[in-house]
Amino acid sequence: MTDATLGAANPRSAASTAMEARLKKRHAAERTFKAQGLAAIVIALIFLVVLVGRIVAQGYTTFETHTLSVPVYLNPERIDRSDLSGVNYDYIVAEAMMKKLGVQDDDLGTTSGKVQDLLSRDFGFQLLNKLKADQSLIGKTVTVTGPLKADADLYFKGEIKRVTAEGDRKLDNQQLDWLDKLQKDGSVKSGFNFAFFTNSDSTEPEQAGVLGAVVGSAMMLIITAMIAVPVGVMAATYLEEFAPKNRWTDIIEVNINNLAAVPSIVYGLLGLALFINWLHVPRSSPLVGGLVLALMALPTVIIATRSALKAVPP
Amino acid sequence: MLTWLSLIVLALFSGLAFAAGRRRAVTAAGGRARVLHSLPDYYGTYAALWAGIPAALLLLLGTAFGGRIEDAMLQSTRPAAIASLDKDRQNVFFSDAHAIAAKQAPSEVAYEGDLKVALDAKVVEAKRIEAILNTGMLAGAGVLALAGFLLAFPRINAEFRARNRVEGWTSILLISCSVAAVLTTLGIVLSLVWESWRFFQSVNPISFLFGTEWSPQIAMRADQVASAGAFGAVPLFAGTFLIMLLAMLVAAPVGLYSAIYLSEYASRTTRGVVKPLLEILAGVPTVVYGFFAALTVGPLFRAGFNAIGAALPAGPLATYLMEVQNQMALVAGVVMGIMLIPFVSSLSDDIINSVPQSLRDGSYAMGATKSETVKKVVLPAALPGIMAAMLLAVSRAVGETMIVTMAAGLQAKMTVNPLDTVTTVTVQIVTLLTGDQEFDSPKTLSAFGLGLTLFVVTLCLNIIALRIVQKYREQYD
Repeated sequence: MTDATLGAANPRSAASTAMEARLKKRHAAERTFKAQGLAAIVIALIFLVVLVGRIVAQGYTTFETHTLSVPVYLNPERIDRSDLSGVNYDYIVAEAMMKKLGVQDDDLGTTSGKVQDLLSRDFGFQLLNKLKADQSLIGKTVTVTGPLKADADLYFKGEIKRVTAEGDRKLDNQQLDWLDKLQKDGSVKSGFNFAFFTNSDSTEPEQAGVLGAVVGSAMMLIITAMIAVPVGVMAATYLEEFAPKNRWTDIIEVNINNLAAVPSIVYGLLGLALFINWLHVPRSSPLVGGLVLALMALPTVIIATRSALKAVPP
Repeated sequence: MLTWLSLIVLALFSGLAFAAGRRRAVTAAGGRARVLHSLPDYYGTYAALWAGIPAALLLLLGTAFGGRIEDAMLQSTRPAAIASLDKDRQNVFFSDAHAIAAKQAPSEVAYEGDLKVALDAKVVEAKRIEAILNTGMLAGAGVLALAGFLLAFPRINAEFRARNRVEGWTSILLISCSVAAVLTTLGIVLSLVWESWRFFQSVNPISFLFGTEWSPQIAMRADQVASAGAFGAVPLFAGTFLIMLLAMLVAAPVGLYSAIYLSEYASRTTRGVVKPLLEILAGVPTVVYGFFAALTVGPLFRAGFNAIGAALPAGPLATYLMEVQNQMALVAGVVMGIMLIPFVSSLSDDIINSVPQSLRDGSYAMGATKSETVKKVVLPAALPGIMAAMLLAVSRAVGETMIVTMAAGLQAKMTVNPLDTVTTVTVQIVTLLTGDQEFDSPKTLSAFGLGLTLFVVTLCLNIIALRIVQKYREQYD
């Protein structure tokens, strides 16, 4: 105390100058440390923003799709009534498109090939289904609406650009001209990609959807929840409320904590050896996946339930 | 399907037993519930449990082991026609017979002549066996349900202590649920050890653990080059270790510093905003991280290193940088590090918060600044807990599968160069087991050897970490 008052009374003393210098240094160290902490948080948040931003930026175009309407003349010469499935509908659609675009096919079929590259095969399937339902359409003109092929769709979404050298992109200048023309006369419309939610996986991007995957995940999830939740809650109730404190319950407790940290791939190996190899449950069935996921989720459910039970006042 | 249906029927029967048991108890008491030892519902439940549980257990066990028993019975007699086939083909033959009988898709093997006749005979036999097993199972379940009911029902009278019996049943149920966790561990250990043992019969464990060459290709023909396959796992351990190290280099400082900042410096509002944001990182499925690594970080890093290589004066280093690939260890390591940041930070946060405030107050009273308090008082006190958190993060990094499967390479290499492609234990397990595989080849079984090693390593890390945490908690509580 006396030192402090002396120091205050005598600000020019050597000891006090040294102390002030030290204090400055210590405060600088303090600021650096704080800045480092802040930097760490900022880095973590930047990672988060980049991760989410990148996924959204790359993924959101999935929800938009471009459809084309084209009047198709069902030429009776090209359609064999006795073998409807064997008809080349893709070519009939291509013919209709060439007529609409005002171009002629050459002997090698180059133009019709280029036109077919713009349209999804869905057009052909639609025609087949229409004819199967009603044969009297042959000789008439029907309007078909379907998705553009993925490359053409990407052109409208700006992923394929005209400025790219012609050889480096999937569509050539003529195809891009056609697409511009179709857009100008209003036959190409952009809309929400409902097919993404109603179709299953497909090798053709414009027809691919998530339905199959979603249904599979849901089935697996239901089985997992049906097993893991009741068993986990009951086990937690026992351990928290009934179990006597002894060696045996200690073993169970340590065991559960360790299980929670076992890598998921080890559970996969367990499922393979136990359910598929030993019990002969069919491969890739939701049952196997659900059972393995239930075993994997069990420790987490038990630990979470126990801490919830612990939080209830005695 | 049959099991579900019979379980539903069984549930209905249990419901009837409940009603009957309750009614008998009420009648026995002459309509005055006060005379009864327990509430009427307990009598009903007692009857229902005896009627339902034993039969349900039989049905579940029958379904679980039915396929296995059926196969064993099917294979007990082997037709002469298949004697000439090798063992694998014989197995395919039986599984085809089983599949056709169960109306599933058989394999694409074509059967002709004698084989076709033998197969048709086996299909008929399989159908017969399945019918017998199903009938047996259903009849057994029916008898058990009826016997259980008949055992329980006559016991019900006014003095019967139904509530105690039902409590007994309940505690058995609860205990068996908590034993499920132990059984899971047992299942993991047994299946890994059993399959690894089969693997180690064809490959020497010493050469597996210490061998330096990994190329698990088993040749189709005996005279092919590299027909033996090499199962030395050291390059895989090295790759796993390298990626883990890179991940920890990202996750440890960022995670620890953000935990310190959040618990010591941040205001309540900052904490309330930043913590949930970090939790989002923890909630992202690892497959999304893998996707991010393979499609965004990989090409970005490659472009970056190529640009550096182009800017450097010509030389071996510049040439090397120009040629780095997307699948470098650095990419997988950095992305895995991002994944581990919230894990490290939330664990460290808990531990730093559990350091008693009195230690901090003492330090401040001595005139220490905040950073001095953190560095010289809080961190030393929290050190064992932070070490444990790091060990848990390491164990996560070693066992992480999806990120490395998508972002790391397949080439087994022993290198410490983060720009090189390496492969990890988990990647190899995935590549060895995806797709249709036969179960007898050392190639498939080696996955279980790798899995066992992985399990043992992560288990040791976890046990050490949990021990440290427990010991540490006791000091301050």
